[in-house]
Amino acid sequence: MQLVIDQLNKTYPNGVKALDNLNLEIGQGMFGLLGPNGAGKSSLMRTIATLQIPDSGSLYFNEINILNQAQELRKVLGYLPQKFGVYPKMSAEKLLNYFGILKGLRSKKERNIMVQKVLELTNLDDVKKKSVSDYSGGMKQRFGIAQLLMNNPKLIIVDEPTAGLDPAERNRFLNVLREVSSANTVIFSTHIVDDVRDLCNNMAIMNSGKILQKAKPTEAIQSLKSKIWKKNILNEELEIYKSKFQVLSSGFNEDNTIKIRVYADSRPNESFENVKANLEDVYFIGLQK
Amino acid sequence: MFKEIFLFEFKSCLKNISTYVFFLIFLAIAFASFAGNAGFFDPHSTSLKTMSFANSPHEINFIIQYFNKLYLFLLPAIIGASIYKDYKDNVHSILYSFPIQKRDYFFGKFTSSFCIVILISLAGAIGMIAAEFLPDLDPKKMGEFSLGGYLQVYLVYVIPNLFFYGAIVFAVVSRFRNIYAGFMSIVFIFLFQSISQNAFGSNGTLIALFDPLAQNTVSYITRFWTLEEKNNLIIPFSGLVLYNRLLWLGISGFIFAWAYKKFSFSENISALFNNPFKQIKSGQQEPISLKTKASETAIPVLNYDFSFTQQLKNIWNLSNFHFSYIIKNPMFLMFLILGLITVVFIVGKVTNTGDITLMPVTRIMLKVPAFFFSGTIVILTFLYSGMLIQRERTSGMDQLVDASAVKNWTSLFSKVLAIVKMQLVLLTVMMLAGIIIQIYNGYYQFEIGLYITQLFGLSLISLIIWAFAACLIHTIVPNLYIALFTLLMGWIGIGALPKLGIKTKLLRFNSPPDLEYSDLNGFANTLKPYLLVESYWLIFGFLCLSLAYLFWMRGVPNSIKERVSLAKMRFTKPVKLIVAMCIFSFIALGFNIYKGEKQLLFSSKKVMNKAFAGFEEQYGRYKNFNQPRICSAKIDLDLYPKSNSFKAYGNYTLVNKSEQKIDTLLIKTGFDEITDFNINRKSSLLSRDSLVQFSVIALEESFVPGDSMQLNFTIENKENSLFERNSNVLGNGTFLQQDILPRLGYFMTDPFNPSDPNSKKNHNFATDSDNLDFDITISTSEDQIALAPGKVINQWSENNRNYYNYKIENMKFSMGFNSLKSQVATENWNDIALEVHHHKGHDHNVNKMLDGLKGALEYNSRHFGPYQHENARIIEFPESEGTFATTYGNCIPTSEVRFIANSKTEEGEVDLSLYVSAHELTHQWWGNQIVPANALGASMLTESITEYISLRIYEETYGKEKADQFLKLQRKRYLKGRTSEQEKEPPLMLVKQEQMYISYGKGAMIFTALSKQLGEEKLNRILRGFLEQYKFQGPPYPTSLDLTETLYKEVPDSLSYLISDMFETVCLYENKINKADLRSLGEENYEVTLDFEITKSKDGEDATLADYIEIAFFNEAGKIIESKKHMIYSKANTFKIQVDEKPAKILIDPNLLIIEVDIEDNVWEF
Repeated sequence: MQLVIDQLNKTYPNGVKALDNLNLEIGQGMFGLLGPNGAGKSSLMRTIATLQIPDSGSLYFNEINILNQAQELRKVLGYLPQKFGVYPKMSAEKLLNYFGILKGLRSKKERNIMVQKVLELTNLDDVKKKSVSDYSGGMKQRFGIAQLLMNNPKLIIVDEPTAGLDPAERNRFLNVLREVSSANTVIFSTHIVDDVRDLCNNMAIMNSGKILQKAKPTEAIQSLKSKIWKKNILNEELEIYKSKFQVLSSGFNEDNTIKIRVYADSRPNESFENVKANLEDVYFIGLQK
Repeated sequence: MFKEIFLFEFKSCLKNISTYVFFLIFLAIAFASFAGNAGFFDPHSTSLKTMSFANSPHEINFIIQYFNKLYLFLLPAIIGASIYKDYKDNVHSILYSFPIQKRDYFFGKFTSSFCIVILISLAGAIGMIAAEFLPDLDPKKMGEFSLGGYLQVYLVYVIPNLFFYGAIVFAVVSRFRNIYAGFMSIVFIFLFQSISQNAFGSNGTLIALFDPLAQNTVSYITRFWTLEEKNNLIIPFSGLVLYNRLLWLGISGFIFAWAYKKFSFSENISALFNNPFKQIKSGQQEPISLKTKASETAIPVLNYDFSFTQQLKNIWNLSNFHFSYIIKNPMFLMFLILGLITVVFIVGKVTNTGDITLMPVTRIMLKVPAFFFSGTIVILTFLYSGMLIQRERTSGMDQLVDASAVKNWTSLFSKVLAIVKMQLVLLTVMMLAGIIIQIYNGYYQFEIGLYITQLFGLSLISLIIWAFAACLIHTIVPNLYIALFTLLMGWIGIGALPKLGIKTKLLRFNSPPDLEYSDLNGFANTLKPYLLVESYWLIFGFLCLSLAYLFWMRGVPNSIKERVSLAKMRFTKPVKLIVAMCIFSFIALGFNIYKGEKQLLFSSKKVMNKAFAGFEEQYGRYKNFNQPRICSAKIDLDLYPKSNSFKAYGNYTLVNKSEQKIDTLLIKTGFDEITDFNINRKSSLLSRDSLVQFSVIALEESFVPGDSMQLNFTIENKENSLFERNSNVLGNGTFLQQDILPRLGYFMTDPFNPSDPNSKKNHNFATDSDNLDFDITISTSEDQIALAPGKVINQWSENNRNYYNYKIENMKFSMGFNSLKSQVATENWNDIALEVHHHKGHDHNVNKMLDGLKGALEYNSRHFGPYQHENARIIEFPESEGTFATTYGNCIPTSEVRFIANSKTEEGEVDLSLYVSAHELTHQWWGNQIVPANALGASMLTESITEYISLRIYEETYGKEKADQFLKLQRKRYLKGRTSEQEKEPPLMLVKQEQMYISYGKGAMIFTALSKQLGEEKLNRILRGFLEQYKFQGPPYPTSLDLTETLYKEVPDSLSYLISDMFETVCLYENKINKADLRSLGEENYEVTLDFEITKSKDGEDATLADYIEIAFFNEAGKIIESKKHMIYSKANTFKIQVDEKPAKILIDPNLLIIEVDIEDNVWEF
């Protein structure tokens, strides 16, 4: 089970290069696509989801040539876009039934079985008679998962699903996603590092339409072992440190001093203190490459 | 802040390309339609008749008012959108947090977008004014440039209308945050206009007052304007216009104020339609960490099916989702209810009020309201196909749906199918409404089959074609409102194409030839061309759908380039095959239409006019050639209803009744027929015009006075062509007239002046004969009976056909032949057999018709002598042949319309059935016993006198009040008829044949007035004397001049001015009561001081007065206290009149003895 992306390019009419000769291979399991806003994540996701045509390049999912056999891919695709709406004043049950038809479920009976199943999986069973347009943000995102499950997809794409969710809702959502990801390829884009840490066994860091780094989160963290250093400095000193060291991140302390994290193979000087690497460090190093 | 908001909005509208597109569209339409009206596309008219000016203030008003209706659709697009876009783009949540005052925001937005709409609306005037300067306009159609006309229509009508309804749209959109609601409110205004037009019966004042657009107000104040007045006068800004404008200002102002009051800078919106901000607060109840049971995690393995049959099932299932979305929409329901109310009122008007009222038979139910209702369905089709195609995008669900494995054509067809289902629902509602109205009117002959054929067969095709086109436009044009506007413009524009010279059905989208339906004969030959043209456009519709499929929106917004390349990818083999097949059948069907239209070309009006002009030039010299006269005719006519054909054999005996010998015969044969003829003399054909069917024959031996010869002929019909019927033989209800028969002489002569002695040589109905004898044998299929004038001498059956031999003697040449499956109602009056031959089921009016015949026999025998035949027959013919009734000998062919006329006399309506049959039978005296000369004013001796007598018969049957009511209709007929007169209106004694508003309308008024002035007995005695003098005589025939001379002799000197006023001039009065004071003289006596004006004009010029004018006084109960004629000498008068009861009302000329345009100011009420 493999998604192969080869030399993908896309330039928008306004001149923005959203995908820049992008190559990527994604296997089974949960794959995190990490990148800042505007990195081209959504463009890539839409292209994989057959909603957008690249200027050049090729995309394969197993045997399916996505660009020529869009319809074949859609049969095994589950897609949750970054933002979506639903027909107003329609219950979850009814809407899912509608998606059941769209996604090729043969009979009404089978559609009902599937609707019930995905409602249970996403814990929406209690509110299945309520209008989805009246759902809260988290419920709506879970409905998004419910609808994408209707065709029992092999390739699941979720685009920034946790943005805007409160912590409780986020946890609930990630739980659901974890439940359904086991045997499939799931691509999960986010700009929140924790999402990837909590869920993914593989990840890539993306910016400016390119893949900057591809890694397994645990291995990547492992590779930074004893290369991350911390120091508290004064606000005015930040620029100096930035020019001297590879500063990964900075943040205020309570006393208005600044704590910085620096990447270096050995301790830069005495004032630095070794700290345990985390995925955020991997991300920032990736971005600075 | 107001200024900033105003300027910001205004500038952003000016930057918007659609503003200019709208402007240019209107500019182009206005320019083209003016050019069309002013004869730019046609050859200039050569006639001397007055034409309606394309640029008169009245016409400007008419045209711009029409544009005004189109402008209204800009209101949601511009004024509605100005506030809607803030909601749509979610700007409102940000915007509302700024320190903007509600007042500035609300009025700023409204004012700026209103200004934009006004600017766009000026395109209409600019286009028209520009077109006024086109070269080569028809000078007969152009008057002086009238800036005032343009200013007036904008200042009084267009801009106020845009303001009123702009305010309503703005209010509705701001209230409901829904732009469709704005669109719907415009449609509601149109529906309301329809309702107001139909709800008040014939009360013109109320219709004028309540018309939201004031169109009817203008037509009401100008209803009696003659062409001359329309061409020259500015429409007065009367009180009625003012009240209308104030009324709608009030209504719209109220709605606007309400919306302003309710408007607030919060995000909560009215809950009428939907409420996306209502949310389920659920975060608290759910456990944060939750784990579904492992066993449940596995997604069941089910069957996914993408086969063709499954797709078809899916189309059905998905269409149900879309369909329920449409019908659950409250706007749809509101639309439906209002539409139904409108239909009820329209039907009410057709069946209950007005001049000729009809039974609610199914074909009438289907005709008028279906026309209106299918318009409504088309608009809903445009709207909902847009809403469905944009449905995912509007709700934001597009990416979910687009990423699913549904096929594009499945989505497309599911939406088309949902629209068709909506159409079916509306058509069903239409049918049920029709049936309910029928039940309500106590009419129980439901023709369900006809309903179904018409609605679910014929109408549905046309609606489906529109649905296909709408889906294409909405797919290609992503902006719903611009797409909607494009469709509306296209829909309206297609109707205007013939005006721009595009007449071929090959180019006029979805415009089939009209269907005609008759209860007797069904759709007959109108069905085939309808179906052919509709199949042609249906195929075109499939091409539209294919295109819609190719450009179907899927995925994130694509650039045009991407959409084209996607379309290329989708243009696969099967699609290519379907498109190729469609194009092939489109061309094949088109070729058939082309062939049919080419046949039509040869008989088009233009070609015919040219042929006649050429004919006149070449053959005009035969105008005064002396010809023999037809003295007897024998005709054998075989009708074949099934094959729509006939064959006739006949001969005429021709006699030279003149003093000179004749060398040349001129023979004109039937225009639509193939005629062969020969004479039993040696002769040769000199020349022949095959288009006009006119032959000039030279006789080798002169035809000497007193000699006779035989003209033998055979006639066959021409075959029907696709779009044209050449044979008048129908499956049922054939009505052939004498124009199939050969006639003698040059026929294109103008009638003489009655003072010209030449006029008396021939009678008005034929120039080749006096009274003669006919011997007719007519046959038809075995299921029908065949009828011709005369008495049945013999009747037999042979070879499964029915034969009849009719004979009639001493009758003028007027002949008609009928054949139908008939039911007969019979009655006797003094041994005269009365028959009504009618279609099965058309028996509602038969008794009234028989009463009419009896009434006419009764009255005319009493006053004017005996009836000349042994029987009289009324024979029904289908509506496709006309809506009239006429007289051929003892036969009265009468249109089916008159059999379904609904004469609820008990409800105060006019009984036309009785009236018309009385009228036709009266022609036996006035038209058959006395036959007027071939001169102007001939129809005064036939129609005017007959109308007067019919009214007397009517009065004897129904009483004075009903007869007075009828007289008012005659007055209206005359005054209405004047308004479209293109020539100088002649006096009654010079009336032309076609000026029926004078011969019938004015004639009835004048003879009735005369009978009231002289006394009925006296007038009838004079008329009888006149009749006796000319009865059954050959030349010299009587003229209108002969009658007026008789009248001058018989009328007392004091009234002889009347004869001149009534017959010799166009005499109109204008009377007015200025003031009336009431003084009690004690006891029951009162003195009224009456201040009134009388003016009189003759032929448009002021005339001196020495006239009797009747003034009537009424008491509280409406009874006449006193009614006297007073001699009036001057314009201004103050009279003191004593009455012996307290008067409540004074009325000048209560009995309509004189003719006056405006009688509303003739009344004074205390």
